[in-house]
Amino acid sequence: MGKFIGKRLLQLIFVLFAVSIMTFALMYIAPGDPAERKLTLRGEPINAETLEAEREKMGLNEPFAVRYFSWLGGVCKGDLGTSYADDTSVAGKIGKGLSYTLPLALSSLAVALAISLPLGILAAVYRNSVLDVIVQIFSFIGCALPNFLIATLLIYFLCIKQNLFPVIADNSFQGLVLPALSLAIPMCARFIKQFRSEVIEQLDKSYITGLRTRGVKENKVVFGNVLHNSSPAMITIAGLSIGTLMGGSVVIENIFRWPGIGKLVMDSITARDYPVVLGVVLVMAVVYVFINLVTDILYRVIDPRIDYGKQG
Amino acid sequence: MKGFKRRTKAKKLSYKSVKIRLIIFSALAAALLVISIIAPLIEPNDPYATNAAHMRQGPGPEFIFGTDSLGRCVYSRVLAGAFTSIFSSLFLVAVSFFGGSIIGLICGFYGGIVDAILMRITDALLAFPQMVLAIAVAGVLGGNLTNALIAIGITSWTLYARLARGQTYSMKNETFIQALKLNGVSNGRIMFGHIFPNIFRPLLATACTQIGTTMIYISGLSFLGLGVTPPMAEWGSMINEARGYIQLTPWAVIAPSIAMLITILIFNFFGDAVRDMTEVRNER
Repeated sequence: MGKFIGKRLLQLIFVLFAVSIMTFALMYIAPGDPAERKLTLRGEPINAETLEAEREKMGLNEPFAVRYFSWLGGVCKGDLGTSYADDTSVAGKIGKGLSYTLPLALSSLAVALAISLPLGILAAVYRNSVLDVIVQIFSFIGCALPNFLIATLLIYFLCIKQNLFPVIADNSFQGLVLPALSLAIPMCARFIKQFRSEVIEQLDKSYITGLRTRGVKENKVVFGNVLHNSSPAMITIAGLSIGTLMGGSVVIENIFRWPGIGKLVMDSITARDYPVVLGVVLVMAVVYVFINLVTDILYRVIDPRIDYGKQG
Repeated sequence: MKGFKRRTKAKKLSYKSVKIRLIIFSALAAALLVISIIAPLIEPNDPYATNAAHMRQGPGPEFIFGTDSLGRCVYSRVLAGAFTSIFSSLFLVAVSFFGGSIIGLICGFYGGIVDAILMRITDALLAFPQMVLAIAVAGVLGGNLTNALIAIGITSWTLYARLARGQTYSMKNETFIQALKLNGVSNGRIMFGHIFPNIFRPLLATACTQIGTTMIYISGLSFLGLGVTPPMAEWGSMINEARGYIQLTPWAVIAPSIAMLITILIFNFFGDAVRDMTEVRNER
């Protein structure tokens, strides 16, 4: 196990390095001159002199490698640079955003799991029953509904027609419900589909027949053996969904004006405030990479049969 | 709690039922394609003509799905949007499918340093949440449909590249490939004439399951204003434009939403049917 974790950590360093280069390269594909954008954002006069002075100050005249490593050096110390718009620290802005995004993301993940775990298992156990058919229909429709569509429809039916929730989310529990639901519903639909097929796969294996012929109670078979053996796959499914969740939160936060990092990144894109965009993308990628690492390790803790000498 | 009823083993997917499903959903998908191609001929009104006299009209005989806040016919716009939404995702899936497969094929066949570099690049690309990277790239490049497709395409090819690489890797040591090599057949010919046709089916099945997801991604970018440029008709941007007037013109939101739901459902079912077909074929 120690060898596996060591190998994964080495891989992690490489991936983080590549991620940082790609993120920094985003700045390069942006059309236009960063100094000009900065001056425009601040409403300062733009002429050859001020532009040149600003370029010098921002270090734009240095070669790519020098700029990249000075940026990377800052990033390693937790300094993501300063915003073009007001010179405040990007890390500070992201920290503030995260304090809104994390509760939203975690609560939607919790809701999705709380609904999909029992439904997915029940649908698999009572295969082809009425319950299974209903759950599957829900899951097919949920998979085909983009999250922005769910959010728009929820707003229309629950806020405007029924006046149950605020349209623009404030930081109260009531404000959290709709954004969390909009994120949870498509996730839930995917989870149910995957959990169901995972449990079915286990139920069809011959060791289950063996247990049944020996007279082991069906409850024990399902909650003991089947659940235990399908949990590694379920953890992977949930871990991978965090990436979709992050992308979804950008869309949903903008619809509900939820002041998290998703709204921050869109506001910065609109304002062409690239240091903030870079910072958010980097933070999200790093978080995602670490979550994948943790899922991988958990997978092997639960299912030690996997040969981690060769794989991973 | 009452114990679970014992269930007998489920039937394996039967060839016949999968075939029926495949035929039904291929036909429905084809119908959608035909509708979106002939849309300009069957639109009752000009989808781009604004008309102050018909602003925010409810659904009626003249405008089946009503008009939006600029007086444009929602039904005509939904039809016009079908082409943008469906063909942009088909195009993107096709390009990433062929591009990714060829890259994976070359990597798997030659191995070595090119393979190592390309696989590390895919590792790095997969480290980003796909939609987040797409939003950032499309946002930085500036919002239009081409940039949105580039932004999603940056990561979407990796799926096919990895699959094709794995399949090629396991196939290149089979006897018939060795025989071809001994006969002096060129590497290019072996790769594209012999290996590719053999790994084509599972790759195509994967591509078919991705059509619906790609549509969701593209419309998501358009919804954020990073996809098509207004006034171009596209379902995601139509929903975004009409969202602000949802109290006054709910039909302008509902009509493209339903069109989108139905289209994605059909393509998802179609993709599942193609995937099941490949599985059933392999078992036969």
